[in-house]
Amino acid sequence: MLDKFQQKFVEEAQDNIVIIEESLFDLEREPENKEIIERLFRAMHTIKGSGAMFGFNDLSHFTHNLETLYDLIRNDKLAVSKDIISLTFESLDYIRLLLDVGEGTLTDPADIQRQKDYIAKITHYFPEGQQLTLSSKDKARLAAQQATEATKAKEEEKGPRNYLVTFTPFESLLNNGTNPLFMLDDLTALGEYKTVAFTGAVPALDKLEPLNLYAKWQVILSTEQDENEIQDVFIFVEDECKMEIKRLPNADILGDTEKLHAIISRAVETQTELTAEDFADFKPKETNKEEGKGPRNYLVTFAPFESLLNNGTNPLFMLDDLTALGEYKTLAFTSKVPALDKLEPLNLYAKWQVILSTEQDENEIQDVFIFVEDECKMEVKRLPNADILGDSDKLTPLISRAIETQTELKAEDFADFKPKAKPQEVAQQPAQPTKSTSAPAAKPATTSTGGAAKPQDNKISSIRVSSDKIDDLVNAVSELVTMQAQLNLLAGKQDDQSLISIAEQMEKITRQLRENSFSISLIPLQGELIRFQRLVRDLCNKLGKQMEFVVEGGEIELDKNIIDHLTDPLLHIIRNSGDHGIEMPEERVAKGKNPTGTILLKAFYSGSSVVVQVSDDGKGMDPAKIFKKAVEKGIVDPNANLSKKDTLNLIFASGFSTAEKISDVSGRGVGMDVVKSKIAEIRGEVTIDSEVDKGTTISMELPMTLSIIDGLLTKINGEQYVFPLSNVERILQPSEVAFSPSGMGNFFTYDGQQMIYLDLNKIFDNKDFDRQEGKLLIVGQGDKRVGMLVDVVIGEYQIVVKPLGRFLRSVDMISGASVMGDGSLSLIIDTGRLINYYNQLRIRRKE
Amino acid sequence: MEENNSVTSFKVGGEYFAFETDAVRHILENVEPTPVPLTKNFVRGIINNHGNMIPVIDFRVLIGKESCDTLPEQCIVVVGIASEKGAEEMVGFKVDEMDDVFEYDKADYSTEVVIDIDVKVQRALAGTIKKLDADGNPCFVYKIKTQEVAKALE
Repeated sequence: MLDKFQQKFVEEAQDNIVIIEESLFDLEREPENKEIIERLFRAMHTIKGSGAMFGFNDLSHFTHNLETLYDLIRNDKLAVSKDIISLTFESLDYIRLLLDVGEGTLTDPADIQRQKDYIAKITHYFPEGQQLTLSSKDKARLAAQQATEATKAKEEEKGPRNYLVTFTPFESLLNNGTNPLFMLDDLTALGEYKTVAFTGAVPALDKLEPLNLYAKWQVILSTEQDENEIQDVFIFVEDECKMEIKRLPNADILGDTEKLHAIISRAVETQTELTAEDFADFKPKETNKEEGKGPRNYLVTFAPFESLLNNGTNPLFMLDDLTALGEYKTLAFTSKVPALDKLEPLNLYAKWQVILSTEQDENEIQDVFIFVEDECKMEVKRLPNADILGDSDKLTPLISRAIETQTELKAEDFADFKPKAKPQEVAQQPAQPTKSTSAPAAKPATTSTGGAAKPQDNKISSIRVSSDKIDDLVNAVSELVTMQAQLNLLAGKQDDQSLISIAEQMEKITRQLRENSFSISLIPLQGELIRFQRLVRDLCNKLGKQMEFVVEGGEIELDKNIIDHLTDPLLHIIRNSGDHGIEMPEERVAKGKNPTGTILLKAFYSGSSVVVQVSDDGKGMDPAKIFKKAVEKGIVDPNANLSKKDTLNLIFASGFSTAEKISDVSGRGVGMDVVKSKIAEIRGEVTIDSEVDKGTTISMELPMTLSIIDGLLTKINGEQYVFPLSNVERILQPSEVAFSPSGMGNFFTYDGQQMIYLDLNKIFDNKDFDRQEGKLLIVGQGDKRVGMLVDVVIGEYQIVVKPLGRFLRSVDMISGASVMGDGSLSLIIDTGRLINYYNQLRIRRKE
Repeated sequence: MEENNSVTSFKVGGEYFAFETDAVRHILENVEPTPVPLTKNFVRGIINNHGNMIPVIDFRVLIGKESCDTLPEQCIVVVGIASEKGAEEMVGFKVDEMDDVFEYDKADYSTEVVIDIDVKVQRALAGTIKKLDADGNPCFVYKIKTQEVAKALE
């Protein structure tokens, strides 16, 4: 049993197979085209790779060989040949089989042998020894790769490397809920960093789209992680940003604040991105290992919100935790404490600053406040590596002044503390906090950014939905349409204006919903065509003929149920064309034709239907031969006098097969009668036209969709009948036209044209009807126009077509029934069939 | 497997017939079929059952009797018939009146069918069940093979 991921893989693999097939046809035409080979290779690679991932081991193994073959071709070690293409086609059939087998490995020895045979056939093309080195080649490649990596690693000293990361999100980045600040957070978590924000692209306020993102960032990152880790941070937004990682010289860039500052200020001022070259003159880092070990000084400012005490947090505990990290000096600022009468006893009015000298890093300090993050303002600033706490001469006045004036201490206040007496301190430690001030600067830019109205090309443009879901949707919509009709009827009866208006609104929406959901179930013919192409190719090989398969109108869309029904008939027709229609090359040359025959599949719209035509330029059908054959088979009376068209139509009679000998390609007992009945099942018509030595054309006229039509509701002898609206050209009063005198047949003249009319009361129920009492519909069917006389025209309705089922299949002039709003049933008239029926009726009467 | 011998019997033109109870889907009263033109004479029309169109066959015509619409107990027996594709299609039969649902003894069943009327569905009659009618008199019920009756209808 396949799980749903495997199911997905199978579907994807099938898509890839189609891609491969298409590419193979292309390759056949242009064997030198690298792009095609590349496409083939990629598709195979995908099948192989994901096959192995989902447990399709044999498939993966098999495809691997195929992939190798195309790798050789890709690298000009092997030339594309017809045999290779044929072999690939065969292999694809085998891959399809393996997909059916499913996961795991083959167990049937016959299958295993088959796989071996195929692989042998494929590896036959490999240069001498290639098949053996195949896997070792991969190994070698891998080893080489590892080796280079190793040397690379050796070359580099261990320790942090510097990178310049340029992150330019597209304006639309925020649309999918991505917060660029989180990514910057992730990025900066990798090591020490300096962020530069560029906000030059922010437009003037009146032009600003609040949901667009206009900022971009550069991060100078010093990390021990490798480049992949940096890449990974952006993995989810790859398609929505431009991201660039440049390696910077191994200098102490972040340490050299003066230079760095200058570069950054310049960049921000001019809004020019930093480049790797800007960092060229940074001095290599001096290795001062002691530096990292000694205690560092921090200025921690902790300003709790007044409400901090509400949730039971005791700020003093936090101060305790903080001061436990090292030596410290605490200052409390209490100027905010209000006068006693205004004091809320449960509010916290104080804030603190702590000068901390600790060996712990900044994160530890942050951690102390982790539970109150949202309830306080907390700031950690790095202070110079001086002996601040030891230099009480300087420190005490600084603190006193701060308390007196109730001004918070700033990092700058500590600038003139002497560095600790250690040689390394010449290598200036940043007087600036490591956390850059540019980072906050980015924030306003972010808040003022946002939602692009601009469509992005790389958005998902289609999704894969199971056809069952679509069927369910279409069924539900069909029911809704029926209910809608009931609502309209009810609203009409109620005479309540507001109800009527709601019903009308509903109808609009329902119609829209109906159209949308039906368009979902339409798929282009194109998708099915590749297998016909394949069929023609196989036929060429099998029969030694030269044929070309040409498609016109592959983009025409049809209901998927119709396409399902169409595939078998089309296969049959094309097979017939190839087998019986197109002659052998020498025969064609003798007739003065191009030795390569053409089978043309053409699809086009014709009114509300779609016509699919298969024509060949082969030998055509000889009506005399068909007639003789039909007489032999007892299908037709030898004395019958048939028109050419009627004779050709004999091939649709059951038990007819024109092939003089049964070949294994066509004529397996299923004849054109199956084609006809299959097409009839989807309310289609098949017609044939053929000229000896010119070719044969078989046309199938199909409805676009099966289940809902726009119809004109009428009454005939008290019963409701629906005409497809697309067929009704006009509704006339009988008085508007001139009927032929009685006894001259059912004719009338309208618009200068003489037309026949069908008295449906007479035809359906053999009832006499005064034609002046009714309405005359002008019905167009193909190139025919006839009148149809009905009792009453009720109006236009959306009709959900329900099939009548197999027991009423013989009544083919009624294509279905529909439940009306009041629960009654109406019958849907197939105008084309009704006209045919009437014509036959007349012929029979004449006889 | 034990043979399924539960049947649903009904009366048409004075004769008793029965479908296998398993095949019976609905028994509908007071439903008037919508006539479909140009059909065979035994087709009374179609009815709507939960959105499915069900053809209704006049059983009287099927067994060669005159159609009749005035009997008080007339109703439509809907049976399910498996189609070649595996899906089930339903067909309604208009009958004079329902009779009984019962299980018959093997001893009372015979594959011999003796009926002296012109029956279009002769081949669809599988066998004869002997039973007592409502008044306690012995009578014969003709058991119908649904698959065969479907063939006769197409």
